[in-house]
Amino acid sequence: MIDNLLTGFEAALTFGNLAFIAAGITLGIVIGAIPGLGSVTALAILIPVTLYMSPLSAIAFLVGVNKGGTSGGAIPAILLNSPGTPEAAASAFDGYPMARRGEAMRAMKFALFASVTGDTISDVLLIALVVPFAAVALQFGPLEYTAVLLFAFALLAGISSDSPIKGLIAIFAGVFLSTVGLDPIDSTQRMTFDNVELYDGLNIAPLAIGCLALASVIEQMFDLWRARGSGRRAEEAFRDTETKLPAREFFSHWKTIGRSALIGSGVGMLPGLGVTLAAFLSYGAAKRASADPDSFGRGNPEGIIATEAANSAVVGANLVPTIALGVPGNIAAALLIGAFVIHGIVPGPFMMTMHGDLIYALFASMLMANGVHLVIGRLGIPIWSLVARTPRALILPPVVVLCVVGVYLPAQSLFHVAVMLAFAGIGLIMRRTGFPVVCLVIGFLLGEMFETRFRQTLLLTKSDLTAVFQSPIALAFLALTVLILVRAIRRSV
Amino acid sequence: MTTPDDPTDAETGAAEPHEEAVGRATDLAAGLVLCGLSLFAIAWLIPNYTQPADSNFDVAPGFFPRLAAGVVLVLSLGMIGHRLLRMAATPGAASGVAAVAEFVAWCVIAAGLYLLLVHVGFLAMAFAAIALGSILSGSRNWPVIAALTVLLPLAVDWGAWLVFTVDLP
Repeated sequence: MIDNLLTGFEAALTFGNLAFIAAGITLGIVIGAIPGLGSVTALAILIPVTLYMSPLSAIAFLVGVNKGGTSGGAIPAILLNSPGTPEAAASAFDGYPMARRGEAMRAMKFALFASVTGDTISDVLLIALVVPFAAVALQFGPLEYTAVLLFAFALLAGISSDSPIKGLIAIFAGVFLSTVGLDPIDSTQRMTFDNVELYDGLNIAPLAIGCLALASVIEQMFDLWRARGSGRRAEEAFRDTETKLPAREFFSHWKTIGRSALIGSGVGMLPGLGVTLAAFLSYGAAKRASADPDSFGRGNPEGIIATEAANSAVVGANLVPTIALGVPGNIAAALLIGAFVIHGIVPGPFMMTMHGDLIYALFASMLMANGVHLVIGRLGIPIWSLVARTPRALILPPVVVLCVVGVYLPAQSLFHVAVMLAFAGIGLIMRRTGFPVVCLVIGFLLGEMFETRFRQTLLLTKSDLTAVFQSPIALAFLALTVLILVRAIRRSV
Repeated sequence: MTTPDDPTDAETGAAEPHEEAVGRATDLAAGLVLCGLSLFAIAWLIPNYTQPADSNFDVAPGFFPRLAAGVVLVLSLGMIGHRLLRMAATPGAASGVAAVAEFVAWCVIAAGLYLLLVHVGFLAMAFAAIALGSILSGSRNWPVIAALTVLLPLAVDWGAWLVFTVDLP
């Protein structure tokens, strides 16, 4: 394996390849920082550009876009409390309070360093475990996935709100919204009102951007308006009082970094679970492991580290099922499979034998991309921090316009803009009444998979739910679900 | 997630008595609204807009939406009961009246922006959003507001065409 990797480095370490990686990361960060235009949109837009590149340069460029796009979402989350993508939502929990107390640059440094470290750990695991983990992933059937999703719901409800019952209500409201559209098994209409735009269900981008980004922006604008009306001095801009982040301080959180990278890698290796789930599982694990869990949500850097290390770790690990099984781990990996096919590479069990040289060159490119990501991301932080020093009243209204453009661009649908504006209102009232908006978005995001796996389980077991006792994996996750719910409810009573 | 904005005493974690009462009333109102919405979904929306009633393959297409809405109903009733019996409020729940007022204000603003976007175009919507947003948020730096209002929409419109070859409405 080491020989193959060295050969891969020999093929990948060219000026042209490094330039394509750097371009991919830069574009990814810039596009990822715009609400609505995350790494998936960036990949979708930029795949046609790669038609003129060699297969290795093309894949390296797209991997760079994916890495940059994933970490770029943390920038608006930290500076504006309006995460551009659901996976960056947990970064806002602690990043925004840090920015408010004058540590915007430190928060962005924590996010960048955690992202690069988590990504590197995940890439190393990808190289070492691509074959054996593919075998483990095959052990997960519909029943196990259903149990994992229930576990995730319980965990999310427990960590994202002071009231787990409100978290659960938001999650199941999201699950309900995910049932709009065609039935996944019968393909019959459900609550579409004969509107063709609803046949595919509500789109995640307008819903997530509306609830998470736009709702946060209008909430801040209402706060500024009210503060001015009541004669209080509005918080107009953040002053950067602390900017330095020594390497020793960052690596003093090595336990959180390692744990989060492993959680992100584990989730990434299971197809379909996604980046957002990894980020929240990791955030919850960091909070539970902390000696001061109450400091989470008030500007504890471990919250940023846990989120960013985990969501970036998914990027590399997602390629495990992609390469080993030909099964994309998430939408970004599905787009990468499309790019593989465009360049004559068929993902699947024979990929390692038929295109081994290219795959190891890709692994080498991924490792090199982490170094490039660190340099480009670090150079960009002072530029982004200008946003933090600009008065809020001048920053927030343009974000409303960018949200509209970000949602309109991918599908060029005014219906999506209307959905986003509607969900901004729902997100606003949820925020004001203490319901965790993130739970609604994640319930929606995982709802379709939850329904499909649950119904597959009912079909396979002929609705005999005692079948759960035949699966130790499912049983373990269900036991953990009950345990987490009981603990969360006892804590809140 | 508790944030520094919450009406919770940062040191003790306890809410002020008045804020707790407001939060409790808001929670009860929210619970009642959610009960109403989930009953509406179970009794009218799902039966009338989900076909067919049965499936040849497995559970009916309406089963899962009904299950999700049912869980929301049960949890909402649980929340109402909890707030009534334990008299506990969630930190962070603000006045329900203020929240509804903001929601209505946003609905009016959003409808205005959407109508501008559909009937006049992106530039008009963006000019209005930036100018009104900046002024309502308290900025009085007129030259900057004017420059931002004119230049940013034009730059975004031009960039969308240049980078994505998409003509904004």
